[in-house]
Amino acid sequence: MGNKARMAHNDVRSGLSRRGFLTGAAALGAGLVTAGCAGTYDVGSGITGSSGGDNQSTLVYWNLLTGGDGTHMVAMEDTYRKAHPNIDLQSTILAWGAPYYTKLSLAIRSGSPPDVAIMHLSRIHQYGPPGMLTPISLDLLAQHGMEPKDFTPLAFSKAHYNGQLLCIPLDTHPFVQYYNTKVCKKAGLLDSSGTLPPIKSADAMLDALRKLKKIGATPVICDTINDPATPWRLFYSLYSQAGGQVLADNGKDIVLNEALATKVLTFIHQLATEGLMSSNVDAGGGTAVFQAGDAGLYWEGEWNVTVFQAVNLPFSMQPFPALFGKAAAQADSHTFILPKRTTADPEKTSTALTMIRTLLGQSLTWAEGGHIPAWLPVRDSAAYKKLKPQSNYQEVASYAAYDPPAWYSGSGSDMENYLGEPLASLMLGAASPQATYDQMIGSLHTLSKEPVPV
Amino acid sequence: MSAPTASATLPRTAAASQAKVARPRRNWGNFGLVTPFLVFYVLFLVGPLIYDVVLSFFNTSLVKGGLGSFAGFANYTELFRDHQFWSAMWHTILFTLVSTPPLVILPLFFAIVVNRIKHGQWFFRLAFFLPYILPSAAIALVWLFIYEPGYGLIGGFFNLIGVTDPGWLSDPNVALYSIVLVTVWWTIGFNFVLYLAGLQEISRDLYEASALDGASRWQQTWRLTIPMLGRTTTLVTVLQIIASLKVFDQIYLILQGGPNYSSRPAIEWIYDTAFTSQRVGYASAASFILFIVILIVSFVWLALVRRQESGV
Repeated sequence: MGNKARMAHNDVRSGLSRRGFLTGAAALGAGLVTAGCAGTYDVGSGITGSSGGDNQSTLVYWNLLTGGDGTHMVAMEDTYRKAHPNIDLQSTILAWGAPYYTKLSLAIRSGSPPDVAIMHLSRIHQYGPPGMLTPISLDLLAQHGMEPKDFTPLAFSKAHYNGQLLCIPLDTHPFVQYYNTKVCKKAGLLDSSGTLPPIKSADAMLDALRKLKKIGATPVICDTINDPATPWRLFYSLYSQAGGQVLADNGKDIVLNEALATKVLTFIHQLATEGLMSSNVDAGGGTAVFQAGDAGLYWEGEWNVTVFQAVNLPFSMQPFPALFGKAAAQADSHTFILPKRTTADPEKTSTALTMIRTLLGQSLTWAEGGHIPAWLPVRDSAAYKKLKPQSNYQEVASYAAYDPPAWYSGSGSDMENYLGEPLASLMLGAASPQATYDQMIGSLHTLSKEPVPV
Repeated sequence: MSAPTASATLPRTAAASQAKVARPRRNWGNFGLVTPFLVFYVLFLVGPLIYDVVLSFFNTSLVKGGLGSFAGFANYTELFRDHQFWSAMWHTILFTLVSTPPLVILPLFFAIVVNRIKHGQWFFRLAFFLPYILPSAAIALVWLFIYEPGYGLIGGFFNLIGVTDPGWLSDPNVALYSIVLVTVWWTIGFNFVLYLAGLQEISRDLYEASALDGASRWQQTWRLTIPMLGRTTTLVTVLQIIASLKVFDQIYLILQGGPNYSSRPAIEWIYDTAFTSQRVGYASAASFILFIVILIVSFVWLALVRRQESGV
């Protein structure tokens, strides 16, 4: 036994140099790992898809377009690729809302942004103030075949911050009313031509919904689960019709009018308590219920049009009805931005603007997805007018209600979430109009008093 | 790195001195072997933790470069008055209180039952463990369908028997419990496997001996199996409490913290504050508080268990 132990001991002793070798190897390995970190920029850009090198022939484009929008955008990109075979257009799709905007902010902050990206127009108040976007001069715009008169005036004027053009609008995408023609006909709501005449007051809407309920249909669907944006869109559409304002002085002042808001909230509450509105669904569920053909109306953004066309649903679309006075509907615009680079690159900017112009030229493809083209040469064309039901609601682009400007407002923002959540409770009949108003005003005061992060 | 070089230049005849320096050199060798781990540990755990603490004293913004202005303890004082943060903390704690007991007791029960099965045991092991390998995104899709009112799996069933189902995802008093149900189904397999491993470590002899002494199956389970699984139960409980305190994915993906923030856990509040409100400094202060809470809970639990074990 002693012998064996000694031999083992000797092995260890003579193995010292082997250990030394292992030490060295391990340390070397560790060194390689740390050395690898110096190269994280390349690794990072490999993951994020942004161009690490300065190869002029690549153009990195980020967007948040999925579903039908995604398909249309890919088709438009392919047309660009065919026309510009020398440019390697690298397109990256990220998830809508906070996940997209987080990555966009961080990419710009870290100095490796995409060359072009999609941004919601309402986000200009977060990206404009800290100087994260490259201003585009009208001269440069004209050199690439774009003039201010080519764009929807409202969207184009909102694309400015501090007098500078910071983004190029692609569309206007409003909250609209879908209606099932078969169900509405059965309820006796359609005129002789088979269309739904505009519903012009809250009482008229209640009447129509009660008729739908009487024939056993789900009167109207408007989703709430996992989707605070939709309740906000419903409220803001109606509240804007009543002439209400939510914020002033770029978000520092709260001007939510209690009387007007309560009128709208009471109406929504009545829809819920009378069983006229079905809200106990998420976005996918709402689409599925309307697609099943049992519902009369569906309040949602226009982007679901292709879903219903694909299943040959008997339906049509119209502007969200003006129930509280003037015509208004919550809306936003997809825009193209040129994220600020650490060093200006005029050649890249030019490539990007050409790409934007090429995509704008295909606005008809984009319009098939439901969006109203901001590019007027297409919007005023005969081909777009023939595009039904998409062109039914094109007038909304001129009276679209964009989210009020603030550092905490806009698509997928805190304001939409903090107001949308209590509104969802109201729509589900779980909260009273007064409690909803109190929570909304409380949240707005909290948001407006937070330190300004931009 | 200098150690191997030194040993290479040492004259072979100086055996005595070599024996003396062998000890420290051996330690260096060990150190070298754990270096890769240490590098990752410092890089991805200690480093970010220190960075988090630093950020919590600044008004750091996601959309502005640099740390931002110095805030002192302002983030912490604001945090202590922020009822939204504390309500999110409460949701996390409530979730832990409600989800831990079933996730400790049910897998124990199932493991004991499955361990008794003679034929086709593999099928049950697989069936219990399978949900655990699914990513949270897949779980969210499956359960959104199950809970969908009217035509979802459960909703359809309720419809069939003519009862209105509770608002699984839309009732603020129900939603968090719906998520507990999802989590039990999803993660039960992990604890189940730990128990099964524990069961197989119990010696067969003990069962034979107790059977000879006339113990019934019931007595064997209560007096033998469960006490012998004590250490496993402790481990499962600690792991479960920590996992439950870190709840985020399934709530964010299925409910986004709704309805009306009734299910938003602390981590989602931190995520929302940092990435939607852009207030990284403020969110860092909150995540440090959560870190301390989890640390305290784990230490208290371990201390209780140590005392209990040394008492036995």
